[in-house]
Amino acid sequence: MHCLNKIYQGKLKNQGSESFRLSAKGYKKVLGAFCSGGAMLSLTFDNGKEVLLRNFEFQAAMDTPPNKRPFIFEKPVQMEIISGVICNELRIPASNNVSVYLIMEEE
Amino acid sequence: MANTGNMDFIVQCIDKEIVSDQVHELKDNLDPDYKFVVGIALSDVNCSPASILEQLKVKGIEILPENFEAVHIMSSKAVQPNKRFYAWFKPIQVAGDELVVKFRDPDWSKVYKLQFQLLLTNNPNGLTSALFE
Repeated sequence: MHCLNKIYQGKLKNQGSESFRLSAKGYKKVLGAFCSGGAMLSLTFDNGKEVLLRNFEFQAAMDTPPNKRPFIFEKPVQMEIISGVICNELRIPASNNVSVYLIMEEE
Repeated sequence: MANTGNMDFIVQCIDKEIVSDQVHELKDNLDPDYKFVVGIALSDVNCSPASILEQLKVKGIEILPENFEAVHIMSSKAVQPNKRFYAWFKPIQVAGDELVVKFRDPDWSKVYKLQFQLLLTNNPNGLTSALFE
């Protein structure tokens, strides 16, 4: 069964960015990722060696079913660090919180 | 077309009038005839995109992370009604337990009725596969 993890939340200034990282300990797969609409997400696996997303822009797509909005993939993970960067390209007010979520499968 | 065989589900709705930009609490007991919560949705498109689910708990267990953006479980009228449920969380086993939702709309400007919808079932595997088709 999958679970949803918030791996970053914070406020980003216009054109600002923040990095995040987490340990994959206790999980066997990452099944998807999404973040606040208007933000751009980069995501790397295998301690930074494998880039999955590079400045991928997420839209607040209300015309798309909620289950179809995340970026869906299947990435087996072991004892590794998942890291990334979230970036605000002027689309999100600086007063709004921005979040990054990973859909993960537990061991 | 979704396989609708062996489905046993109900949509339970909880309404709340949103009268300010402060936290509103929605509370109800889940239908005791159903054993799993597998989907959630917010029906009202009057709430602002900045709205937050500060907390969503069933029998004290958090279904979603704290301060989850409500927009992730909202859909426009263009989405088919049976596709409006968000289901990217672990199905929660229930037995008539209490649901508590703390909702806040920081950009609130007028009174509106919010409807929180839960998809309950006795057959989570069959229904979950249909939700993701």
